[in-house]
Amino acid sequence: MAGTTTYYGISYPTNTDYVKDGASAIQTVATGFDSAVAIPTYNAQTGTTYTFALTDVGKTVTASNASAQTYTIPPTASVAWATGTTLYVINLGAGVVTFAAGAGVTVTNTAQTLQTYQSARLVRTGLNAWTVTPDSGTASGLTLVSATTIGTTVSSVAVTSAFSATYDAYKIIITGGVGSASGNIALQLGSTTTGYYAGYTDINYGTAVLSGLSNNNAASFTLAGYGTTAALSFNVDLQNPFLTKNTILNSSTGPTTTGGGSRIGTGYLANTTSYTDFTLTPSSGTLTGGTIRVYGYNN
Amino acid sequence: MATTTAKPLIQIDDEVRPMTTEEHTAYKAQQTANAKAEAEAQAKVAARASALAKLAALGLTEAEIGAL
Repeated sequence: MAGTTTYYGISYPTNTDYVKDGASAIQTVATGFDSAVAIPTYNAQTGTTYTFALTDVGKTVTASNASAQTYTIPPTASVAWATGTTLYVINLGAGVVTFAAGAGVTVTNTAQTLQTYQSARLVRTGLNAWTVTPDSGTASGLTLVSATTIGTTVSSVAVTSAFSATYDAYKIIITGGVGSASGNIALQLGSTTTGYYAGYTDINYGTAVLSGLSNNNAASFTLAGYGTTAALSFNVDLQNPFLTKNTILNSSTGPTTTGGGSRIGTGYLANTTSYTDFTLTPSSGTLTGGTIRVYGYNN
Repeated sequence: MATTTAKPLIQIDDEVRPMTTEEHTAYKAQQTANAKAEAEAQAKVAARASALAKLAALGLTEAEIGAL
């Protein structure tokens, strides 16, 4: 072909050219078409960040990383997106994929993140406007933010980057795992060691006696959970940890010991600090195994 | 020869390691404060149970105690 123009990686004869070797030109176009469009191709990404490129159009972008990932849509000034462009993304990793807007770009429905094996199409709806359209429907009420596997015989576990502006309320729940002894599991936000107020109703399994327990300007929510050598019991909802408002606690725990009791607590942390991290600490002994999962309640 | 005692393990996200001296100091302070808070809470429970027992010993029924 004397002169060519490239669209999405395929070379076409320029429309003003006189094509001397028509058969060769057709073959070149066909070969290009096969490699770029007709044969499905993947762009396998394994990092924690990625910026979409024009070559992703028509492909499946696979995301695979154990940690959270951010995929950014660049502006049309950087990438010559065509009208109606659609990008297709599948999350094959354990980390959550979040979509972000590049400079000057507006992306709607960014609250729709991709959990493992979820997919979405990113549809260009304007010059620098995109919409996230999940294949699995609208976002559920809860979205997994992080999953932390508890190590062996650890005396405290800190989870960082758990809270952000994306969600106003969170659920923290532990599955699996054991303690080395029976005891409470305290919840501390950030590095704050004062101002924790909470009341807990505790009903003993054996006697059915109702007791009231409290944290009165304590150094943490000391009775948020409970661990035994059989299991860990920790199920907490937090409101506003990232907002500059009081953080509100709702906890429930059922110690797995015959001498224990059902405990439900509510309370608050008396400051307006914005938190991103929390720490769990057993009152006695250590923790081993299990997974701390943090979910965000979709706003 | 001086002996060293291994510090408790701390986990930050996926990293598990012995606490630093500063972390260990903060951990012990937090444990002390938490134990104090728990002791105070349990003391209130015990005091209430004691008071209820004394009321029962005075002849009050459970319904009467509950109505107080």
